[in-house]
Amino acid sequence: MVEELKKSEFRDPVHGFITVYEHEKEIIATAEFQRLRRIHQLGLESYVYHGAEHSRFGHSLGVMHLAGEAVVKIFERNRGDLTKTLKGGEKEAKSLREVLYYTARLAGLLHDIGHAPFSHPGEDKLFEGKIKHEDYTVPIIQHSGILSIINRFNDRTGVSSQDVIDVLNKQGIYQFPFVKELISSHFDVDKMDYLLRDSIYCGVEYGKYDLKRLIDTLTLDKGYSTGSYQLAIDADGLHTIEALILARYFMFTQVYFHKIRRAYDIILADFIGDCLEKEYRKRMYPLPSQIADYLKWDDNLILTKAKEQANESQRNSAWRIINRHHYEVIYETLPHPDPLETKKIGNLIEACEKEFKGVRFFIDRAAGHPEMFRQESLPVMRKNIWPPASLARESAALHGLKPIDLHRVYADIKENKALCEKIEEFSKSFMCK
Amino acid sequence: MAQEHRFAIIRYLVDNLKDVGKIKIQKLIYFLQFICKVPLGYVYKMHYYGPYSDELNDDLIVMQSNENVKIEVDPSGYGYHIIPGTEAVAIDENVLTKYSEQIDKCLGEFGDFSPNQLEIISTLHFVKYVAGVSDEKKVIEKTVMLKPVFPKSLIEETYKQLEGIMNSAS
Repeated sequence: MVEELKKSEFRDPVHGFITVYEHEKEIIATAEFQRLRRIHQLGLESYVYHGAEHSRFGHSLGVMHLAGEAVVKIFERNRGDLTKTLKGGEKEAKSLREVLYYTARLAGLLHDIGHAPFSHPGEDKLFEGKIKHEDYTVPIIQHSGILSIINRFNDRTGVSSQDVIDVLNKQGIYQFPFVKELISSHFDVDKMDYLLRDSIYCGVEYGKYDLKRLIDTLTLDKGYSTGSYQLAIDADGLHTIEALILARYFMFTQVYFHKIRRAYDIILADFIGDCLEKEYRKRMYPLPSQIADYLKWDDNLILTKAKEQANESQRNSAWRIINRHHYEVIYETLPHPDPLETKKIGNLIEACEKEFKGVRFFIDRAAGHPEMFRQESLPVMRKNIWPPASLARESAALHGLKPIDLHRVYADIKENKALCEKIEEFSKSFMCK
Repeated sequence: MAQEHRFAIIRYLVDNLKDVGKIKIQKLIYFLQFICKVPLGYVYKMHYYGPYSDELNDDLIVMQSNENVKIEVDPSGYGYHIIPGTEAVAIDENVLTKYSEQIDKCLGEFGDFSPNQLEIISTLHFVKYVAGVSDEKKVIEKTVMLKPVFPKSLIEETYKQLEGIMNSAS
């Protein structure tokens, strides 16, 4: 008889008690996973909202928990259809449910294991070519003890390391694509966790929505031709999913794109780039093929280096990070600016540099496209109506969403209030011309 | 490839096809990139209806907000129609001239395929050439697993068709 998996419970500030199975506990104990304790979830957001000290570690546990909950609910609602796909009986259905459950949980647990220090700063500059943090996920699993842990428990979970890799790898082929969608899509459990978690740690209400109802109303649509079930939502959950999308929009404008947080993203990217250049003679993280080298980079290493290199007289990036001295915003557009304004802002920097010699200026563009949900093809399932209409058709609330394309100009003005006001005045009149 | 160049190519396809759904545009762009070797730079994943690129979907949304294309939900509520928008893309003629042979070849080869045909043939291509499953039997097995609704014989027949296209492309 196959031995049952031992369970533990972790206390989580967002979800209460989270069940952790013994193979997951072994993965959590690896050095590669423990590193996530040293990757802040929101960079230096705590310099704005002081509670935001949380890490990718807790978020990964939360995503694991929600991935499992979602699979259980989806399976309950679609047991008959899923079993038919397998052409199997009750026993096969039970084992399919377990395989999908453990697979989704493992993928959720590991989905962020490849994050760079402070999560997102410099992601567009410090990775070679088109590489993203997600490209480190599979190499980390393959070159650590995680691979063998997953395979060692295969007889009890029914999950192979290849299954988990296929779910996590964008180009991987997994028989049940809805599991991939649960881990990474517009409506993934990643967002469901981070919106609530970030709200709680930041002490804001913007990211809150009805999680329980949302998970309860997740379901599947068989689609026209695929035979592979697509993630869908029951019509009863329509307003909860709208609330999730709006929560994300508010979190972007109020938290993730906050002007001070963005200023520190610029400073961090600059300093991390300096550190990488000193180490490798180029401002780039090691490649996914150099995984051991990549994994040594975490927030603690960056902060230690910043402490060593902080220089008040130079007012360098290291000093700014350690002592919380950021650049000042001298001009910013609205979150949904006029295209003419965004065109002109590029010339503003040039004009400012000419007018205020010796002052350094930086431009930041914070862009997000919540309006894409206007076109979202997520099926909304109504009783006795097939084919279902898409969320794009069903939701009137989402039609007003517009792309966020916030542009800001920062200046290094050494706490000189008078100069700041002068530059602000100049910028305003330049932009009004 | 720069975003405005991608937009010019997408608009050219939409202009030529008059009315095209999201599945069809996803697959035509897929073939344009992977078989006709136009370096569009989209990342594709295996989705419910075959290979799918989130980045291409994002481009379509931006094109819609620029009014380069109109995306209308089918009256049934299921599926989309992409039609030319009121605003022309600031067309870089060079891009269209540079790749005109490949674009026209792609339209000639796949333009008349139905969404179902495109779904099968692009899935076979993805399994073999993107996911790297080289053995014919395994390619068909994987595709049958991903597309259980389609008869195996149809998938086998489409595999032969794909191989013919790939041979003539090389």
